[in-house]
Amino acid sequence: MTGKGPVLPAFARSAGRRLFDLAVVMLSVATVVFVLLRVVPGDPVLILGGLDVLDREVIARARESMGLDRPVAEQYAVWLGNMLRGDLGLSLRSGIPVTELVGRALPPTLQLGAMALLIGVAISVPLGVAAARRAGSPADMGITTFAILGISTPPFVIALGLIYLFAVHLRLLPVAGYVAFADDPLGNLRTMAMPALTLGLVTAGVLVRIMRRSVIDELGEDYVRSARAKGVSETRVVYRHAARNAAIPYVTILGIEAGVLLSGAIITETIFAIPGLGRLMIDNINQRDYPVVQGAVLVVALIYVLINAGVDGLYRILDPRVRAGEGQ
Amino acid sequence: MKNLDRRLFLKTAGAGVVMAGTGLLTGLRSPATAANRGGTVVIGVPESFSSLDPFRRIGRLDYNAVINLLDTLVHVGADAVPAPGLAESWDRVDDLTWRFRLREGVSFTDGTPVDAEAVIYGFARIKEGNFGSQFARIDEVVALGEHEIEVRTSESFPTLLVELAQQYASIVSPAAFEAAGDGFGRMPVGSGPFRIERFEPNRELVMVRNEGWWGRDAEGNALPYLDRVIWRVLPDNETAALALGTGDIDFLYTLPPAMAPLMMADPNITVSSGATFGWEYLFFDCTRPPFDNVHARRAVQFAIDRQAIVDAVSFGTSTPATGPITPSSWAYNSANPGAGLIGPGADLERARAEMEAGGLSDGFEVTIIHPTFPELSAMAQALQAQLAEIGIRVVLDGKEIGGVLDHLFSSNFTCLLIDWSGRIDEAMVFNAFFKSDGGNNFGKFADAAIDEIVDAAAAAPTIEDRAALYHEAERMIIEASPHAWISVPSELRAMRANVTGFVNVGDVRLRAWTLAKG
Repeated sequence: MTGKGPVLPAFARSAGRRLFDLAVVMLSVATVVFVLLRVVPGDPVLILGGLDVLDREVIARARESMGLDRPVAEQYAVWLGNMLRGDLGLSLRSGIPVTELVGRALPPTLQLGAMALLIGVAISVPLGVAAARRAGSPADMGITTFAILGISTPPFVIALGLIYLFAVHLRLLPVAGYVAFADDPLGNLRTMAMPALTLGLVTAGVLVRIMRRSVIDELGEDYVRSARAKGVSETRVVYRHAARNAAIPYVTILGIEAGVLLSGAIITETIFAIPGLGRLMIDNINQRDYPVVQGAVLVVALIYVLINAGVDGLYRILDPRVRAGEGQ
Repeated sequence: MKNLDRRLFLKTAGAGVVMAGTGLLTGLRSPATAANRGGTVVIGVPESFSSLDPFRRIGRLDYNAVINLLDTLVHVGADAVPAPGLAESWDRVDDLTWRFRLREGVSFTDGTPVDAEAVIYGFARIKEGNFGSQFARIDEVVALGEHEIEVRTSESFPTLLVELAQQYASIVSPAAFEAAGDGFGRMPVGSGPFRIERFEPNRELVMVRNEGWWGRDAEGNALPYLDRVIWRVLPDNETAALALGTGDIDFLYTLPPAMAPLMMADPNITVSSGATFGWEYLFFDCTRPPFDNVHARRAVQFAIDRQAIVDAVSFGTSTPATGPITPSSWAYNSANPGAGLIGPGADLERARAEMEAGGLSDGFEVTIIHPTFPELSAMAQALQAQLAEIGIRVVLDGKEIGGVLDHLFSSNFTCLLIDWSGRIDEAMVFNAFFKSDGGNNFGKFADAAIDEIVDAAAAAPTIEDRAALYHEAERMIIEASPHAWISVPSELRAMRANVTGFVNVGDVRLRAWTLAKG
């Protein structure tokens, strides 16, 4: 390699490829969601009134005012055309622009995801490393048990447990609800603490196991033996050498977990009444509010793609070999 | 003619008292007092709001917000009596003409006066809206003065007052409606007891007292008592119940029957139960086997042990339904409930006799489609066991509600279990379900004699005449059994003990202007 010359065009090429991939993914998701929603039984106009079946003429007028009387192909073409211009349409139920609904739902979900990941990392790194260092000891057994409990306990059980403890018994936190950070930072943290902890504990369970396994693997590598032979302190060996290399599988799983959090958010946001993307999706799937579900799923797909891109970016930082590979 | 309508209301008022008396858990709360003026009540609601535009087809919860924000010409009073609203009085001049005198000095919360012009504008919006067909008989509405209008109809419209009390007949500020365009549902402006302060459909609706509202309590104190009502979306039932227990919220909008016993044991919580006008019921397709055979339908009707289902499925919170007219209706035939044909228990002998009369002694197999809600699923299972007694092998087909409605609306079912929230006038029920061209007649039931008597009952001049005709219509309908009615659900609400003044009308509307917090 001769300096940075060839690296930039290669990077640009890879960015171009990524954008193309992104477009293909989004178009596929958009189409699949559109088709699925119309294949699933259930008519938005009927569901809106619940079980109160009503006059056919009322139904027909409502359907017309929602644009549902037009052919499906036409609805698809119109929606796709508008989407390309950044217009995701209007909610069938409320007439509110979908971009606005999604825009309002995004911050709570992103905040919840970020807090949960932070909690997951804060718990899993020290515990995972500690367990690896004392592999087979009672401490390791305890940590592994904790991890398995975290993975196998459904989030709603954790959530209800936390509510009983912090809201009902100790009366420290409100049972459920949401306050925007901008309106009331402290209130926001009080309402987000339990949901973030719920998802954070689940994530921590997965991450502890990955961290432990990876560090154990790295500790068996030749370079660790060399470092020890050089007289490097054990703490330095573990954290500077082994843990850093163990970070690559850890970050991969972290990326996957970030995606999993979005689906975990559906239950958690429902229990804790957080008006995020998960709630927006589940509410509107139940109501068959097609444009809202389509818009929300597109945004979730976009987040997945961006997380993956982020993970790839982290590889470049963590592992020089990835960077070197791009020049070839 | 005015007196006749008054009598209808008085009769209905009587029914309201009966309803309060039959509330199984707690009847009406003690009246709120002006001493408790002020404060905020937080109401936990189980789903997001959609739109508060009354002229669109919106959800049940949305109507609960609308009734507190937008006023109507006619009200449904605390005792289910249609009472003066924005119209302080009215006359039925002749069969086709009604005159309404509007309250003077009332304004919408944007300052526009509520006068004849605004009300005429309102009628035009009502007729243009999704529910316009309900008012198709109205030919024109004209101003007789600044505060008097005349409504002229093309044919007799005996249920006009009841229709005008519905939320889709709300009177809105013309200025605000024109300015808002499609966005009216997000910031509706009317002249109701409250005005909207903040609205986030997925999270919270905050409304504050409309200081200029005309409503007064029995002692002449201005209503509403509360400064502010917050409707907070809490989609999970368990969480919502816990939030009521800790006092995070003051009022739980819907209490699942299974949770009622637990709530009633808590001294800090009051549970209110009011019988509704609705049913949980089986729909038969009267044109396809086996239910094209009236004996098959009657066999099912007689084989159902309604009391057992009520006790097991709704924990005793609902009541057995022995016909289309519910006990809280002014048309209920208390002298001869179930037309002497069906009672709360099963009559297996009679059911078997019907099977035999219909040539069905060997029994038959039938699929019942039902929504997968917990109560209706349990009810379907109970029906399966009960019908097995007379040789009917029931296959249950539980579906998500969207799928059930698809089957119902396209009349693609043999037998289908569902519920209906009811209406406060029998004309709205009988015309829709039991006339051969009725909008809700999904089982394609047709009987010329019933068509005739249902028309006659809707148009009869006095309440006594109407009730007598509905009694006869009910008997004929039970004999033909296009449905099998099972139970009348109750409206279950739970609140903190310091919340007073709640009136459970049973029409699935929460009137927050009578609430106070002590």
